[in-house]
Formats: sequence, C-alpha cells, structure tokens
Amino acid sequence: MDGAMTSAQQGKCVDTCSTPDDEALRRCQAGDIAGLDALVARHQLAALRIAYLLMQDRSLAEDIVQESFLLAYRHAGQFRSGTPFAPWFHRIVLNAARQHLRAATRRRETSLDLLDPRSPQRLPVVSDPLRHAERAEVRAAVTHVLRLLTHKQREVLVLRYYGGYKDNEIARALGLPAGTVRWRLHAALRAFDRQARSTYPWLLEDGRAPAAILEHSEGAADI
Amino acid sequence: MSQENRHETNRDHIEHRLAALLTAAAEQVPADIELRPRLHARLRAASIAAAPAASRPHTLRVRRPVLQQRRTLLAAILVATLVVFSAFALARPLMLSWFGDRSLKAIALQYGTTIDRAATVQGITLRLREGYADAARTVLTMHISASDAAHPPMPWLPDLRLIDAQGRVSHAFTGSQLNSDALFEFLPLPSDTLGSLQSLTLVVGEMQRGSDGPSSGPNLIAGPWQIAFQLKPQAGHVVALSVLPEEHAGVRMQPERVDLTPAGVRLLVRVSGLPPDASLFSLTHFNSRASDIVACPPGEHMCASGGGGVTDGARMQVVGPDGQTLTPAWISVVSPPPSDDVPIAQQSIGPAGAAELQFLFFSPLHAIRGTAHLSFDQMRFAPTGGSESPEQIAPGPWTFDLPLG
Repeated sequence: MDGAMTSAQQGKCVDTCSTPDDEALRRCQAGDIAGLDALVARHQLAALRIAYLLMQDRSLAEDIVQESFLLAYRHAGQFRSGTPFAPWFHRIVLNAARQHLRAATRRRETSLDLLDPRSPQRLPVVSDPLRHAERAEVRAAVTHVLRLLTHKQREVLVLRYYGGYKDNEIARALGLPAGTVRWRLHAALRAFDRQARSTYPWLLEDGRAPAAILEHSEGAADI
Repeated sequence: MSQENRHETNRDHIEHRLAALLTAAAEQVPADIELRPRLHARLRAASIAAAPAASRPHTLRVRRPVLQQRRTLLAAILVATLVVFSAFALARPLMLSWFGDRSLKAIALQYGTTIDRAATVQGITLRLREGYADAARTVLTMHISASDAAHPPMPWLPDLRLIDAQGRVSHAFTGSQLNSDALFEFLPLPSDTLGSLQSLTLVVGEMQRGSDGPSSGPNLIAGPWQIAFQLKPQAGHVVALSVLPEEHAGVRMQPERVDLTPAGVRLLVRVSGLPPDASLFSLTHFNSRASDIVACPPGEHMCASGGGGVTDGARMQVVGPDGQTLTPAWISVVSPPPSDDVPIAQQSIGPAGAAELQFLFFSPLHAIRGTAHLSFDQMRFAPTGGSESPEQIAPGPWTFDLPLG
C-alpha cells in the first residue's frame, strides 16, 4: 500500500524507549492542549481516511475522528507507554464508528450522501481533468461497493488492506479470536469481489481505472 | 473446474488491487484537512481543555447532559429489567417444565464438576468455579473480583486458553459475563482425554477492564492468571464408524467417528486425495451456523447467541434418525495438527494429501438410535498463500449412512 506502514513495521518501543506520541500523551495527561495538537497533526489523516472508508460519509468521519481525539485526550492515562499510538487510537475510532452506527440505527437517520450511492461529494481541484474524472469514478465505485458490505466486513477489510494490520492485531482491535477474524476477512474479500463484479466489473480487472489509481499516491496515509 | 470456480477471482489479485482501491477511495478525504481548529473550539466549549480525566477527574461539565440522559435511560432499563425478571421468575418453572432447560449453565451444573480454585494477580482474583467437558465442547464458569473496581474486569477472549498435561492447547471461542460471573467455552479437549481424569491448566493472559467511556477501547490488564485443576471429560456415546470411503473428483472422504454428548455432536472425517500444498485453513471452508454458539452466564437462562456464521462455503449436514438436521458450528483440522507459530492459512496439508477434519455441532442429536445421514455437496481447498491459483472445488456429493447403534 502506498505510503502506508503497518504497526509491526513501526515496531514496538520497549522499556525506556519514548516516542513523540508518548511525549504528546504525557502532555495531554498534564492538560496541555499542545499534546493533543501534536497527535492530531500526526494521526488525523490516517484516522479520517479509515473512518471515511468505514462510514462512506466525510462529515460523519470528521465527527467520529474529532470524538476519538477528544476521548484519547481525556483518557490519555490509559495509553500504555512504549506501544504504538496508532493501533490504540484506531481502536477508539472503530468503537466511535460503531457507536455512531448504533445511534443512527436507533434514530433511523439516513445521511443524504447515503441515498445516492454514486454521490460525487466534494472533490479536490486538480490540474488534469481527465485523470481527475477517472479517479473520481474509481473512488465513487469503491465507495459504493463498500456500502454494499456489512459494517463488520468493512472493518476487517479496511484494517487489513488500508491499515495494514495483521490478523492478530485486528483480532485485538475488534476483541475477536484470530480465527474469527480470518473467516471474516475471507468472507469480506469474497463479498467485495462479488459486489464489485456485479456492479463495476472493470474495478478488479486490468484496465485504465486501476492503473490510474496504482500510479497515484497523493497524500497516502502514514499509519 | 466448476462454473462457480471460473468466476472466482484470485485472492492475491484482489488483495493487491484492494489495497490500491481503498487508498484511492480514501483520497476522498484530502491530505490538507485540518481538525485542530474544530477540536480547539470543542474543547473550549466543553471547558475540558485544561482538565483531562487523568489529572482532574471532577471536571465533568461537558458530560453532564450525557450523564443526565444516561441516568434516565438507566432508570428506565432498571424498571424494565425488574418487570422482565419478575415475570421471568414466575414463568421460568413453568417454561422449564414445558421445554426443559438445555442451557449450558444447566449442563455445566448437571454434569459438571466443582473446581473452586483461584488465582490473584494485580489485586484481581479469578476463581474457577465449575467445569464441564465432553467431545464437543469444554465449559468453565468463573467468578472475577477486584477490590478496587466497581465493575470487575473480564478475561480477554483472544488470550484465554486451556492446556492439558501434554501441552495441547484448546482456545476459548466464546463467553459471556454478568457482573462478576462468567462462562467461557473452549474448543474440545483431544479425544484421548475423554472418560479419564485430566490435569488441566486454565491460562488467562490478560483481562479487559470495562472502559470508562464507550469508545475508549479495550483497557487490558496483564496477567497471567493460571489455575491448575482436574476435570474428567464426559466420554458420551462414542460411535466408531466402519464406513467405506467415497470418492468424487479424486477426493476421498471417510467418516471415522461420531461423539454424541448432552451438549452437542462431534464428527471426525478423513479427507484424502488433496494436493500437498492445500492450506489447512482452506479445508475448513464449510457453511456454519454460529447462532448455535451460545454461552449463558451463571444465573441467566435467556442467552444471547453469536449469530452469523459462514454462508459461502461447501454445504455439509447431518440428518438424525428422526429427521433433525444439524449444521456444523465450528470446523477445524485435527490432523496434521496445526502449529500455533504460523498462521493456519500458510500451513499446508503436506505430501500425504490427507487430513482429519473435526466438525462440531453445538446442538445435541435428539435421536441417538438408528441411522443418521451425512452429506457434503463439495470439498473446497486452496494452495497456501502466495500462489496464483484460486480456490478449487471438488464437486460431490459425498453421502454416507452412519449407523449410530
């Protein structure tokens, strides 16, 4: 994955090793908002993109990540110093997303974005309109296919193939046995394959759109 | 190769493509987004900027409306719970007399053994109360207490296991906890342990403390809590089968043994004629019904079930002598024994091209005399990771009559 780094690649800090995130969390514990600023600067993009892939709604993703940062700030004391911040924070994001989903179900609210599965939303200004249109088409197609999956399927797909997490890390994040995660991943991959083939067959075939996205790595998340 | 198989997309191809597709879709969120001003505004509005919970636990102004809503909700839940439990307490004897009590709690208490051994780590005491084991499952009830916590922590399921005297591990796969009382289920102990007293060790590597906020993620407490105890797994009704193997598309199947227990059924089937590089994980791709995986905490008889299961695998079922149809809840490879050190999807079946599969059914067979019928519509297998080959499907059906006695 372009620019993405797995939590394993980041490595675990042992004993006395202190990371900038540790320092930022210590400042959060002391009530110093600069600590939160540092965490937001480093982790907001990856978290927002994970939340977006889970919810397919950018404003909802922003709400979820804001809530998550506030929770991380409030519960900074619960973070285990010396371990990577991103997996811990992504667990919070996952839980916040689930909570939003439950609340939305209870309220029976539907985002207007969700009513139109191919809603283009706001797109960045780019210099190459053709390439821009192509990428927008891919984005809309992937987003639509993701909407056709269950939330549980999206969770494992996003954590594995966007977050770069391993089975056991996903298991820990979701509180599931690793075997269940492997099955869920297997089922999710098949579901994605099936939905993609029935709605956007070109998405999984060698052709213009995938080539375009593979060439492109603008602002890839550093997880 | 079947029609369905031709449409299968190679997993490696999808995985590679999916990473790129998700990265592309994620770019809907532009790289220059900035949440800090909004967070600052929210912190200012909430007046919590200078007082996170760790340092100033009494600054709860921002939470007050939420707490008030929660109090109202909690009060409503309390009233509803009292009404439901009162009604249930009145109705339960009648219901049990009509339908019987088949909950795991009842099974564990009826056939189980009192253990009552405890281990304390970090001020948290785990007391193992009762145990029940048979060929299809192992159930343990526990009590967890912590002097300094209003809500005791619960064992962390992915790190909960049972180890026998030979070092063989049975992992926990489901469980539930109500306040201090918990019930966990483990994959069954090996067949050779049935019917004789076994020395076992329960290992709880970590416990999960109830998080302060619903979104704060699991808060794990390092252990381990280890309790050595003895338990005699119930032998149940063992049927050693003498059934001839049946072969389709080069794949041979032969049912070997059925264990009928009060809590479920275990069936062992030998599969051979498979390619040596078939992954062990791929052999377990059968439809399953996770809703049969039910765990009741002590004192509860209305159990929540896991729900779900696998629906896109090969179809396998057992039809009992009275027509009762069972779908497996859990499928695993018994032989060659999978290693814990390598992901099972990366372990291959080996040059023998044969494996022994264990099918667990978490519902008992009501009629255990007569002939049961076993069928598989197909057998699926795939090479270990990294290959370009898709999942293969050997079409059946394989059908067997199983004389139960």
